[in-house]
Amino acid sequence: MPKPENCRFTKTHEWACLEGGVATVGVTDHAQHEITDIVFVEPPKPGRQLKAAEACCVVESVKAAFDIYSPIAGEVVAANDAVTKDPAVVNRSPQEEGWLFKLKPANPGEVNKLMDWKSYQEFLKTAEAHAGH
Amino acid sequence: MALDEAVLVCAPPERFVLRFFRWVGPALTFGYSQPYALAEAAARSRSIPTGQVVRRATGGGIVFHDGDLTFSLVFPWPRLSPPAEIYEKVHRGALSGLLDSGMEASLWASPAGAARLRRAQCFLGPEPSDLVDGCGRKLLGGALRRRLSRGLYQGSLRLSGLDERRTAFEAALAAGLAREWGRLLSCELEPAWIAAAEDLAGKYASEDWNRRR
Repeated sequence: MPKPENCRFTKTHEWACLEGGVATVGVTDHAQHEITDIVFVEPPKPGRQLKAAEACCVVESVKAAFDIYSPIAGEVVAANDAVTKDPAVVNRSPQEEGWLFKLKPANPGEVNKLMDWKSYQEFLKTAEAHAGH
Repeated sequence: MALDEAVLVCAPPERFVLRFFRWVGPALTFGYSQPYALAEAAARSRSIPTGQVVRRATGGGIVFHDGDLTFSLVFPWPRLSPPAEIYEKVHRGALSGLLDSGMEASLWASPAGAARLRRAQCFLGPEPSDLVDGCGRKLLGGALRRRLSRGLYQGSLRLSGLDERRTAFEAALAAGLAREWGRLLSCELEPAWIAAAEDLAGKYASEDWNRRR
């Protein structure tokens, strides 16, 4: 599974890793930590066409549902059954077993417009991280 | 439900919008991730018609709306932060208002070391930061949704004597929430939000939404 250093990141705390023409998508360790105990995950269904930044997935912790956004445009080609069966996997392993879905990018170059690992770490330290969109 | 989502989507990011609403007859709402069958069985046990059963956009459990005071608050939630903190903040505001109106209430805290429960029905017992009376009976429970940099809280308040003092309790809640957030809360709806709600109304009435799992 992808190492953070090989992934790209959004300001809404999703990661995407492009390998073999398919992007794997999940939420960052920071996101799972803030959302806290995840009890439900609803990834997008395979075949669904997503736009970049489109709300496409819901995760729920006790009492609160959160929208998750697609980092790039493309077609969903897989959803992670492991996280729907055991949502806590996202807390335990957000960047490995806890991935959410896989996308066939509409434009593979789009992923390079996202933040790299170092930039995301800087982003987390800035006020921007505390202002959301 | 449709209007709450419309306000969540349409209101400016910095705006606080507080809304009190009533139900036409007994109704039941259930959490975003809950199975419809669970809600349907609960509704049947109270003779609530299926047309009065609706899935919320927020999390949490089943809530019976039969004489409660139901309200929603749309608020800025710019930084991804633990929902327990937001939940407590909303309920601190509500507590402040209720205490001012002479009610006995407090924020419930779970015993040290107790595991957090996920209750199928919201009012089966208190959860951390719920409001309870002096006997530990739950008075206020709620649930949250975060979308982009905004949050939606939907809450249900159960008090004795609510019908006689409904307007006074609404004013007390509004004052307490405004004090807690340090902001004026608008209760006015803009025409564009109402139009958006009309577009969303079909979703909340649909089987696709309510029976999606």
